[in-house]
Amino acid sequence: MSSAIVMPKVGLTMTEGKIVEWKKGVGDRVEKGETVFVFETEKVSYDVEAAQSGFLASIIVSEGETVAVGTEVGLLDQAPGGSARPQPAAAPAPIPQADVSRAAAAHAVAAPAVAHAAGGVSSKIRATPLARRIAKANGLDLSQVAAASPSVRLKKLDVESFLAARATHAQAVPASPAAAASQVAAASQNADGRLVRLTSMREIIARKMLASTVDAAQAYMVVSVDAGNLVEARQRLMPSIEKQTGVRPTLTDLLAKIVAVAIGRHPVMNTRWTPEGILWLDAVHMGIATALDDGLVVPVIADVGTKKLSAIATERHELIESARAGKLPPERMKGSTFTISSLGMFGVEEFSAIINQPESAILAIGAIIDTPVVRDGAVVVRPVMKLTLTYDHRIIDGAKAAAFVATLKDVVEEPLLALA
Amino acid sequence: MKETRYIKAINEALHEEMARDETVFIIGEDVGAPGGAFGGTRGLLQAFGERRVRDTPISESAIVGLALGAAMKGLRPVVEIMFADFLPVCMDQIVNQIAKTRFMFGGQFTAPLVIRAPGGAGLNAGPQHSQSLEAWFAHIPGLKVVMPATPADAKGLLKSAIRDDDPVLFLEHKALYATSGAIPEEEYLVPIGKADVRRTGRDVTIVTASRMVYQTLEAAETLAGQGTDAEVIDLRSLTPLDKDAIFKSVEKTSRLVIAHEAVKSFGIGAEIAAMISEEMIDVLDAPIARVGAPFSPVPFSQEGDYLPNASDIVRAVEKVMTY
Repeated sequence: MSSAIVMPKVGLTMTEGKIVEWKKGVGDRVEKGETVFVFETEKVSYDVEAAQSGFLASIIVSEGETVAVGTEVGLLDQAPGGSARPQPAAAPAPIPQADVSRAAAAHAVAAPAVAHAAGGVSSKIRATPLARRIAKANGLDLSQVAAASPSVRLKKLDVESFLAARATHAQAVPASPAAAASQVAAASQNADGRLVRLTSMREIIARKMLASTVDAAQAYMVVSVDAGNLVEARQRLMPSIEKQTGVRPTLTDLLAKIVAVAIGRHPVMNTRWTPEGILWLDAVHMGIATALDDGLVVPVIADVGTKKLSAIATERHELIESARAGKLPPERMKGSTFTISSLGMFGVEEFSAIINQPESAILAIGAIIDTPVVRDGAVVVRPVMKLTLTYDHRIIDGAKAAAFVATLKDVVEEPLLALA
Repeated sequence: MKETRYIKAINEALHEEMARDETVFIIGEDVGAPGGAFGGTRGLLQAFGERRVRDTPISESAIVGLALGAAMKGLRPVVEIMFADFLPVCMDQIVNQIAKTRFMFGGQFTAPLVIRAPGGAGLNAGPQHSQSLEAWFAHIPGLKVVMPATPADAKGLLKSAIRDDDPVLFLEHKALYATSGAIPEEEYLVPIGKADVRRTGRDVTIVTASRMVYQTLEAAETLAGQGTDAEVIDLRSLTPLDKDAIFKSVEKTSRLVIAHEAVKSFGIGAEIAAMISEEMIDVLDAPIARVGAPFSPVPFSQEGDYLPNASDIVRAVEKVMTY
């Protein structure tokens, strides 16, 4: 008796996962709770633990391959060298219980049902003949539809919904990253160099960045601010916060708080474009663009305006540590309403960022550089920081953006005003 | 249009065809002075005389055999078999002789005869007088099998059957004899081999015939109240089967239910389901469902529990819709 090990669904938007590593080899004994394989999704990697003990009978999907949610990736046998045929009534496939939120767990349970229902490898996906025909006519791989659909069995409606969603997306992003990648792949055959397959994260970045440039009417505005008081405020707060939390607050932490205060006075910055109208959001959930070795994630500090600096620092520290470890749950990268991005640590003076869809604006923070400025008719040297706002002109007009920038400059230059 | 009872519509067809064509004659048990067991041949004896309205002893096989000989010699007999359940008595004549005539004589002889017989349950006539045996005959090459549901179709199809150069088994439903419906005043024919869409719908196709047409239409109304728009196809003819009508409808709805009064096993529903599976399975968005009687003789009592009804059809459709 054997059971299938499937690619679990660990987030609402997860459609596929890439197997990064098999921790067990074929024939190995697997204890319940042991990590069987590691996969990587949009922005994180997960360890998949065995839901039951047994022997890894076969590896169907090799390392480096990307498969749809619910796809059988391996088989677990009760006995060594037993039948490698999965039983229709096999126990649920392993899912990483610890990492999965309740909503995600519900999906993960649904996914194995898809895999188990038909038994054989060739007919893993249950679909009506009509659903299959429509999929074929549209060049669709049913596994894509299965991954995106909550149905145990694909019907016409599931395939048509998938096509409709794809059409909407195609409209927004004329060239899909995958298509672009295949062009690159084709081109690369005639070029010297090295082709690296797209990671899930890279595809997401590509899609989101491109969507912003295609969908939004991005406009830019730069302001120079005197960061003297900001730096001093950090210095004065640091000992107490570090003592309290063990984490040193960064300028980004302070700016997250200060920007939220400025947004509070200009709520148009905290909006979202929807086909039905402009959605004015109540709370400010601050996304903090964070560089990783091979990509970028945007962890979110929810309702940043109501949080103390110490709480922000602690949370930011946790989020970024887990992001760098590849363990950031997808839920913690969702729901941001405004994003800040800093390249100051690289000495970049100023840059413009691309809006993190579906937000309306993003603030790019440059380095603090000692700069000669004119004060009261005299040239003095001040720590100057350049802030660049990218805003969606569909929602935010120039004057509104300028008013926000003016407030931002005031508050950054005199952080005490945040209390006013 | 005029409101006419089903049995009267049949009677009108016989009157009209006998008046139109003197080769048409009637033969059967009690078809003369009594006018048939259910009144189908009423008035014919008076109108056309004993030579053309032949009353016989209880001798089904002989009646049918005689009709075949007459048909081969150029007459157009219309045989009445009192109950479709008695057709097995003359099975050799029907299956081995009548159905084969055109083929075995290379078209030099045909068998332009009609066998009328009432089938179906609903009158508590017991297991030997209530059967729906149409699938047997639809299985025999060389026979045409029709089973009208309405007075208008009964008249129009019977006239077509009498004019047809091949043998036609005309299966009436005894529980429909007393039902009424509008039929045209003027002369008309209903073509053999053409189904009728009784109700158009987009969600599911229900194929049915004879008395079950009414149960199906009732079910369709219930389903409409639940938001399911059913298309109802009345086959009218089993052979030739109007595949085009069925296929066209299923192409549209992607779902098929077949409802018949005969036992479900090995019935017309199985044939239609198989046809769809073989020829156009990729239009289906759900499994095909069949509604039919349980695999048991028709009981004398508790007939209502035995016969498939509108609720059974509704349940079958619901199952298909929620698959």
